[in-house]
Amino acid sequence: MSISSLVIDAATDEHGRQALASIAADPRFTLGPSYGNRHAVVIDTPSVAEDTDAFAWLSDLPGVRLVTLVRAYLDDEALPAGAAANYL
Amino acid sequence: MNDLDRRAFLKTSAMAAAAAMILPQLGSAVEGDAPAADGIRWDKAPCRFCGTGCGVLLGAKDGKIVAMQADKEASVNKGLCCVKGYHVGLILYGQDRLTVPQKRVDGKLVPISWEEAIAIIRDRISASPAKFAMYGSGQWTIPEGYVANKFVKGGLGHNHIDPNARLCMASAAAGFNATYGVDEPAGCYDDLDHCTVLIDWGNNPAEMHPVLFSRVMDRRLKGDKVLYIDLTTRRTRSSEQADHVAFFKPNSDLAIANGIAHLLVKAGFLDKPWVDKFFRLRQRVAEYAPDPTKRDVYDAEAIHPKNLNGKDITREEYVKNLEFYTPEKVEEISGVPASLIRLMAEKMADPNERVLSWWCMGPNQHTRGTAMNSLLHSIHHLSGQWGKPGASAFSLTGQPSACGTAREVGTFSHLLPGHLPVLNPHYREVTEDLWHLPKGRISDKIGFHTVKMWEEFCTEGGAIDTIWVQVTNPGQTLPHQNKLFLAKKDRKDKFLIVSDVYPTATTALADLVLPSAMYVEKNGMYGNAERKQQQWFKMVEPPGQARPDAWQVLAVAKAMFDAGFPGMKDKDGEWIFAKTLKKSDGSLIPAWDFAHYYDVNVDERMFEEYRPFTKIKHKDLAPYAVYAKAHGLRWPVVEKTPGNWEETLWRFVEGKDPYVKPGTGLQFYHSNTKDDKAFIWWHPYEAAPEEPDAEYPFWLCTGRVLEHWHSGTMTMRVPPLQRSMPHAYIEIHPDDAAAMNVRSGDKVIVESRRGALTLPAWIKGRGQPPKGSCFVPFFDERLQINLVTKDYHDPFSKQPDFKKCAVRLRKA
Repeated sequence: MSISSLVIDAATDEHGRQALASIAADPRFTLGPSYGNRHAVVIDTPSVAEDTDAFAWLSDLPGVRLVTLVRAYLDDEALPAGAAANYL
Repeated sequence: MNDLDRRAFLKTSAMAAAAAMILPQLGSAVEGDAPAADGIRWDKAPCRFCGTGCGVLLGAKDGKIVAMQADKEASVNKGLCCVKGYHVGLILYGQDRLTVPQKRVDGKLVPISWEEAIAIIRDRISASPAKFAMYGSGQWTIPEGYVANKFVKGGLGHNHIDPNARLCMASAAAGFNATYGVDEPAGCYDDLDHCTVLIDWGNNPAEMHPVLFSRVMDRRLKGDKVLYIDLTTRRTRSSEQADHVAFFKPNSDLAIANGIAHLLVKAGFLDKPWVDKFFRLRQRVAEYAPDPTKRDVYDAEAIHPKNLNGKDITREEYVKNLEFYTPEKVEEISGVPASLIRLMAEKMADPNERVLSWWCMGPNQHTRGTAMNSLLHSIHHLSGQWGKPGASAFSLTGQPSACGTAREVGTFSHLLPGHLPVLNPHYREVTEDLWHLPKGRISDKIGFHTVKMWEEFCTEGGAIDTIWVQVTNPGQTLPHQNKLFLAKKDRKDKFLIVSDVYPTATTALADLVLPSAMYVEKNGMYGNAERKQQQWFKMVEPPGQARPDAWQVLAVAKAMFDAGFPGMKDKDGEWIFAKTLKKSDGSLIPAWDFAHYYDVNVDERMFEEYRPFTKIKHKDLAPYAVYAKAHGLRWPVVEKTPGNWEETLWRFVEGKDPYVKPGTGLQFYHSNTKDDKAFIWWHPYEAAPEEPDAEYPFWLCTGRVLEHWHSGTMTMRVPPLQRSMPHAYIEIHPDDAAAMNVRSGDKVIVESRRGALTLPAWIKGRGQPPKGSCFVPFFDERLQINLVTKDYHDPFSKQPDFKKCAVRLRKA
């Protein structure tokens, strides 16, 4: 389980409105209160990896100009060993 | 609480936190203390990664870090974090943490006890102390760096200790010293909130310092006018936000700065009242050929550090030197349009603008790094874009305590604590007094800088036979790896000790590996790029037998003292750390015995021992207890009234800096010329010592990426980050790729005079180099670009140039 809260800065034009509509329609996101062009968003996903995917999706969404993290709750998924320490 | 309830609870809490960020009137009333009800204990710490120094709150539960949030009370990030900070808690939990000491036997690492490990180090150093060196980093906490520094300089009586900060900001430090007589920025991050023009000099803050970058971009989103100019050698994510992007030929940044100075002089700025009142015109002592296009034989050792301060020149000489750098000539040298040179000069000349220059590795990792840093300060001095909020020249750092530990604690081979030069006999005496050492214990010789240290270590019969590495990964980050690291392999006379948290390219050649506690598994303090010290307390236990780096050094120092090593005794015959580790009844706290290490807060004791050094160069730090409560303070921190400690945002400015005399306006009170004046430097443009030619026709630039921090030791173990950027690559211009019949994903061999590497190509990717150049990040230990880079370095700072060398490319 991974839950994180973000603040997004959305464009004030049609792209921004479409971005907010896309976020609202996506079950991974809960759109919270807004102030000007800044919007509170919560991501709720089964894993940290999916959380990061959602973060990246938001960052690349046309009409979203900035995404910043406020808080993250991380799950206990196992982490991999290092890349290849003994490559020599 | 069942899972569903907990999930709903956490979501509510998360939404409240985000809402509180955008609805400031709600404040903490919305956020409340809800997480505590879930059994999570929150505590503050700076982020573990870059030099920005974001404040985070980490949540611990059942002995594990399970949550994080950005610290709203941290002035650096004001409640926001980047994608690396997002995952900072996960860096503790890679599956392959080092948990026991290991010794190499017949080529394999085998577990041993801590007692045996300490004895091995004791015997190895005691056998030939002069041939021992310590190699640390800007990730050492302040107390850790202090302990290591005292161990080597006070205990072993030589100065062969250097941090990896030599590789990242030594040129910035040399530039500050050459210009102001004292290190570190006069301004701070608040300048980002006031600037109206922002000029990036070979910098990519959108990926390297995203929180600071977003601080400016957020202003623009709110309607503030901030003109953003990106001077770069390749298109980056930062470029996407810029009003003007200009690609400059590597090494030609000096010509660009001179072009701006040329126009300022033409506009009469030498006659401005502040120039004579606060500055002296200066140039270096050792002259190269005056023709800036002439290629010299480069001798990095030709200029002695004593020449760092240069010599005075007349107005006429200064003007004559700059005559060459017309906008059109600068365009010819650098590729930057003359119109943009003019625009930058016009903005700097406009008193209604607030121009901020900022940079990081571009001007630093440069064979003319000290000169370039000095020129950046100088164009701000000449134009008057200095000493006002938003008008500043600011050097960013790449590590969390490059300033706090490497520069201020003085873990460089030429420094003592408080950034006091080793070559100054007065400062050696001061240090001996503060450390209760016999007179003459501190060596008057500068120790080996990083490149020299590893060169000696990797050379048969070289002057160094043992190196102890802590908190860094030179097996990946040193340039010219075949010469400076891999040559150690199979040399029986060399012994490499590595304290680390994970297996790395460095432990791969280590003879002894020590498992270290990391980050919030121990107490700590870091000092960030804007002179801010931040403290944290241990939150969770380290795994297995992992122990703090400071404890490891104390244990070896005590073992050497017990064995009668004379250097580990102070002038009273006591152990050199004894006076700081005593109880009020005079008995010694046995902190070298790990069972008793936390009987006392060793960090606090060492920090209080260190504090008197910080006052000597007006870098005053507050008592440890003040930092324990504060969310960071920028030095000098002075006690205005009893118990009221105030930080300083802008140095050398009347009314802002407590050490500036009233009525002076600006006072550079550490002036190299003892007259309260700083310098306006003249330095010529010179071609890079290695440029593309018929045999090696491409420029290679190296650097970092958003997802990974430095050598990837930590971030490559965080699955989402590893998956987002799983391996290194080479960026090539589409025309160059087409000429080689290379498409994205195809393997390309990049080869220099020093080594070769095969990498997948990325064309029209995140970064886009101009035709004739390529870029490779250095985070991937399987694809080490430092096999290819060169070890040429700046003659003053000794910082190598990772940013430019000549290579050839071919399809694999």
